[in-house]
Amino acid sequence: MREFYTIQTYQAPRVRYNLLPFRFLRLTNDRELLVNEAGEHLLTPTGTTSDLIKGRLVPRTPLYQDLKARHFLYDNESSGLLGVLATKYRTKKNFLHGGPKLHLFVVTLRCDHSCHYCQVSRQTTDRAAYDMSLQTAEASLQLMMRAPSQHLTLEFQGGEPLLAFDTIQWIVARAKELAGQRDKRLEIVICSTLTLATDEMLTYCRDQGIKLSVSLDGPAFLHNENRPRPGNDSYERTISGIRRARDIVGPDSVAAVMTTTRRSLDYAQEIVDEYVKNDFRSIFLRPISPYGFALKTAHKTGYEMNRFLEFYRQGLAHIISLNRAGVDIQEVYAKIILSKILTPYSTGYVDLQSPNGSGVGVLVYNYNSKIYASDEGRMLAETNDDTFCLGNVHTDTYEQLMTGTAMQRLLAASCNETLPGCDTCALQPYCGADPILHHATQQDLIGHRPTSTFCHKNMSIIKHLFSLLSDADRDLLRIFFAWVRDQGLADIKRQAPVCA
Amino acid sequence: MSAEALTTSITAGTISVSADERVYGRTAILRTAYWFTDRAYVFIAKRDEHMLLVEITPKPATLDAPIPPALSVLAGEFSNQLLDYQLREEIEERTGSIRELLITKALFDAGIPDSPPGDHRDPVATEC
Repeated sequence: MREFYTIQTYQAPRVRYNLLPFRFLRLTNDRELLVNEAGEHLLTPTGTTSDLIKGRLVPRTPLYQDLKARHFLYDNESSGLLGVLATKYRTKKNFLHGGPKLHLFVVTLRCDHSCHYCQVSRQTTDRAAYDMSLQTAEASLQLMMRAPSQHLTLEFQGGEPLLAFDTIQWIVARAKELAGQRDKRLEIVICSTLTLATDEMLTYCRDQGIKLSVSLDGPAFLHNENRPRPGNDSYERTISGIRRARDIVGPDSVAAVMTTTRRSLDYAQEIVDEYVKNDFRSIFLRPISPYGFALKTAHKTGYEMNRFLEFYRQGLAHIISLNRAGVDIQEVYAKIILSKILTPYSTGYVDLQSPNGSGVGVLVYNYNSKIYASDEGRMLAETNDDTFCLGNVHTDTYEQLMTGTAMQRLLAASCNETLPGCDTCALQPYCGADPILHHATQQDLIGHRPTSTFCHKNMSIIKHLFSLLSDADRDLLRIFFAWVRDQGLADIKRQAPVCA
Repeated sequence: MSAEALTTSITAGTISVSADERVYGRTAILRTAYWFTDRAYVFIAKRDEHMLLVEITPKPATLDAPIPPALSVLAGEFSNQLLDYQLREEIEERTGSIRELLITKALFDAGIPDSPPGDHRDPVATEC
């Protein structure tokens, strides 16, 4: 007698799924953020994590397919996962390759300014004892060239580096000679107020291919109040320096950075407009660093982190409005974080790296022959805290610097994958670690996350960016991708629609 | 889930949370408590064989936090976050070994050579 197959024969085989490593947080009352080990993310309805873990997801639904495509789960139809994820993870950590790439040379502590928030001792212009000697410069360059990377950045800092211009000229010539012998590419930057920049100095910068970085805190009243100097004309001189630098060195030769003080907090829009007025295409809304002599003037410059975050959100909102109106201006911190969210690549910003870039990505050669793991470590030294001194250019080898006790202690607290509070945080791939800041503010390299200003700031800003992304219209997505790709708005508008 | 797995009470300005370690892992309880140590003093003790007692007392008002959180709000936050940390423990239990494998493979494929003998306390020899 003929028989029929049972109904079960015709049913689709049950798809069983398994979890891949991920973390989550509740972004809003109705949305969760899921982030996997390689930094891929997904915004989902509340309850998704619980359903995912309890095996309640329905296969082949759009949510299921998204979770599978972004490597939060795998099933019997998945293949080749581990290699793909490993490659993505390794790409995120690519900044480790090549050792320290940024080398700061503090050629002098002399300065003609007395900025309230300056973290280093401001010796007046007539104290030559605070300049780097040529012997120290030579020893520093020899160590710098030991870094494995074929691309190095040499950045001059101070004080006011232009007060030791002859030292700069000597170092540049010698650095190029040594780099040429080792087939290394060299980028050179001078961080200067430009108030003392002569046309001869700027012509030299043009001829040597040197870029300039200048401080511009905002409109004249704010800049001059933050950065007093004899004559109270820091703003006017800075603007003059910027214009002359662009004329002589090149239109894209000058970048600007600002420092937020308590006085700045009421003028987010005005500060951004000042940058636009002076044809800058980026602005870094950064808080004041809690190091060195800035602590002595904290009553003038200190503020609660919440107030800074409100300032940041206002500034970012204004920048986005300007972009919507066709003005090309990026916010640098948002750009760095968006790069980590929207692309598979790492970034060179050491404070948002894990392990933190101090020592690993940057070295600071001080005028007095001591070497520090970061500029912040050097600033602490000016207040007699030498915790982050890695060694001395005249007595220590590169290997001794990179394997010494100071570096070991720093590295042990530099990986947010291992820090209390960070190890389970969904934002871990987008954040970093800052043992030097935690040492300065909490007297502990590991840090106490619930009271950490680093954690508070980054959690707030990263969550804010995810909120913007989750509600973003097409124009906002184009703006963010223009920032991430360093393209102009006009260029990105000509391209196909982007998907986050 | 048993009704006694998690109980909270508020007495004399302190929240007392009793959590059953058979339902909520100790690690989840400790991780949850950690995130309250900015706003409150947290004391943890064994209540009996299976129960952990967490006492949460809000800190006095400060310039950064001029208004102390309401106790009922804190208690609710603790319960919700404990649920989330318990989920995180489950994720770790099921995927921790995959994470280790993934990172090992990522670093192995980066071409990092095997460590030479010794450790960082040994004297460093340099090539001439």
